Amino acid sequence: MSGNELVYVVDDDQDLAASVSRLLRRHDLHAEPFHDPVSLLDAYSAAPAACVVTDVMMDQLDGFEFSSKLRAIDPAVAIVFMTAWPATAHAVDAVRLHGGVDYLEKPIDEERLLSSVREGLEWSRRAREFSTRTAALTARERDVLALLVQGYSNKAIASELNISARTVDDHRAQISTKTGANSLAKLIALAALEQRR
Amino acid sequence: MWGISQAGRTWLTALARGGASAFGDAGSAAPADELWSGKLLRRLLVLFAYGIAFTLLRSASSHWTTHKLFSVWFPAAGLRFAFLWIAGPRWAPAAALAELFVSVGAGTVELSNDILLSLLGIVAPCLVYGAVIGIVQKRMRRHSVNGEFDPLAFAIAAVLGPMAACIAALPWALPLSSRSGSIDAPLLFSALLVFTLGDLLGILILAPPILWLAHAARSGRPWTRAQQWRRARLLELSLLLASAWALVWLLQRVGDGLVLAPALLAACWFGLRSGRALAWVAIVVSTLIVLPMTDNPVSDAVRLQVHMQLACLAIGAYLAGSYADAQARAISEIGRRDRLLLHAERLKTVRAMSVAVIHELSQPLSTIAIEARALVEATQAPQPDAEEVRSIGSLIAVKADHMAELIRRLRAFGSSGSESQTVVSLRHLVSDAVSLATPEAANGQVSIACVGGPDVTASVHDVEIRQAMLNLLRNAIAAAPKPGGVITVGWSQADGFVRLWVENPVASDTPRQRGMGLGLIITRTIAQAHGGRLEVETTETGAVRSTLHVPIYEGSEV
Repeated sequence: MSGNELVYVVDDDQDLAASVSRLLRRHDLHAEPFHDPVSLLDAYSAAPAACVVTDVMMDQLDGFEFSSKLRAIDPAVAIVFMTAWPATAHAVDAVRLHGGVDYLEKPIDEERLLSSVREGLEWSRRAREFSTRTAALTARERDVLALLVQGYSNKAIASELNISARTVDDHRAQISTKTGANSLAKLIALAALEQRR
Repeated sequence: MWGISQAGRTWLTALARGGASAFGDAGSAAPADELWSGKLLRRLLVLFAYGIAFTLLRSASSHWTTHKLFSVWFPAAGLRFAFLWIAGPRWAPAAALAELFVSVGAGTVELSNDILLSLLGIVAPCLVYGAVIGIVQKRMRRHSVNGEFDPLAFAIAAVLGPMAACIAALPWALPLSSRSGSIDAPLLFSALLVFTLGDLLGILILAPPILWLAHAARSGRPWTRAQQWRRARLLELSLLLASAWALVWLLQRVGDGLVLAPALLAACWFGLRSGRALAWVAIVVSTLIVLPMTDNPVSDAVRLQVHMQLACLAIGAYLAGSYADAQARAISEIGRRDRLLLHAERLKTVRAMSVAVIHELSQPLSTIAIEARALVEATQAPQPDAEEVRSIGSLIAVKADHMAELIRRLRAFGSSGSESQTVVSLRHLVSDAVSLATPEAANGQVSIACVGGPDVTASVHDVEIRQAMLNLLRNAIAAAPKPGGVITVGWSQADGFVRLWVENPVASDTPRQRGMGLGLIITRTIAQAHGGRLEVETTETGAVRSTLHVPIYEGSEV
């Protein structure tokens, strides 16, 4: 279903990166190994991926730092962490702070790796859809959208953002036109695309 | 059938049991009847032989008898002392009876009018020796190392025993000397002095070799200690003793009488330099020179005076030798405990590195797990791709080798290490230490660079130098700036020393980590144990450089 979406596998152990890539390829995923996170960052813009599986402990660049830099380039890429040195604090950070789909321990559980990558691909697809559909929105329109989907009324939004209710109405109209979501329900569905970070 | 009462039988059984430990066959849970037939008979034979040997030695010493009472050189006391020391003090009553029966049976002792006092005179010294040996052994056992006695214990017992026996002799010597009606005090005291001197000389000359023989027979290693004497040392000591006796002879020629002071100093020097064994040789040589001089024609007063000097010589030399031996043993014991400490420290290091090691093992294991499953899938295909199967198999093999190598290094590092030194290649040693430290360095995001050079071989305690290097590396990792710090390692050789160095830049905000201090102390201890040293200096660039100086061949041990 997501046959040609790209997955990068990053591990400073070249053999392991290659092994994991081959494993993913055997399961009909398009995977490429990288053993140097820095060179991947350089090359990324030319060939963005949907999901990146990365080691946490790497010589050149820490896995978490790498993921932050990657996110700065592409906010819609899903990240799966794997580590040979699991720590609870790391696991929590990986998911909450760095928006990782999962935090896997080495030796890797293949089933879990596959399901995490597939989940990541799915999330990435939705995130990209959301970003293309909301790409045309101005900053103020985004603020209005964020409050709308939280159930704020026009009046409440107006007082929250310190603008008039009429202006809020104008913004809502613009949002509906640009994203094609012409009801509150559709707007909420749209916003849901962006969740799961 | 033995016709002994039940009480006597019990006592003899206890004797057989009690003495068993002394003769090396303790702990057998044999029933009392078996003890009876075999062991008791053997013990009675041993006692009988002891009595005969004692009586023979006693007769031999009659040559030097003074005052018709005691001999100034009484080797029988040495036999008695050695017997009680080996067999244990609880054998004292039995030994006393054996002495008594054999002496009386052989007619070498005349029982005078006062039978009770005479019997006491024969039996009492043996009992007193037993008591002294018992007290000393019990006290020393508390301070013993590995069940071996402090060499000083024997020397102290050998000196205290005759004195205690002399004091204990007063009650029965007093009535014997006052038989004529009035007590001849000077005669009594000189007799007691002779008694003490004779026993002292007898013990110090005869007991040590008997004990050595017994020890050699039991341990099966007869002359290990003798091999340690160096030829130069022997030459030095023989020249010293010869010149000392030449001086004694000169003094006598000048007319100052027989003055043994130079020989005494020489003998003490023997003891201090070479331990008990050579001290004993010096004592025996001195005794062999002195005894013919004090043979019968000499007056009692001269003989007493010379033998007193000889006894001083023997006591001084033997105590000095025992002291030297005790010190040598203490030093080797400290060395042994240092080894234990270093081993414990190595295990601690392994534990501290375990997290990094787990990482190092999980990496190849992950690859192996994935590839093994791939291998299974590949072979289940309708037409297995031989090339693919081969490449997967060889990748698994490479990864397994990598893990095996890491485990081998860890195991070698955690081992207790050999006592002796081996000739090792420094390149190999350094690269081994570096690969042990690499996981931790990777974890701390610093790297280690090995600055090559011509390989150097050195004779060292392999695992300990490795430990020292690993300590230096781990300290460097802790202190280096992160990420990206580069630690350099290298070696060189000059002036009979090899230098192993670790250099690292220092992060300005390095937290003082626990254990850093101990690592340096351990490293310094290892350097010193090799006769080398550890130098820590700050270079011009602000980096810290720790250098381990170790002699290439540890013949130059200070």
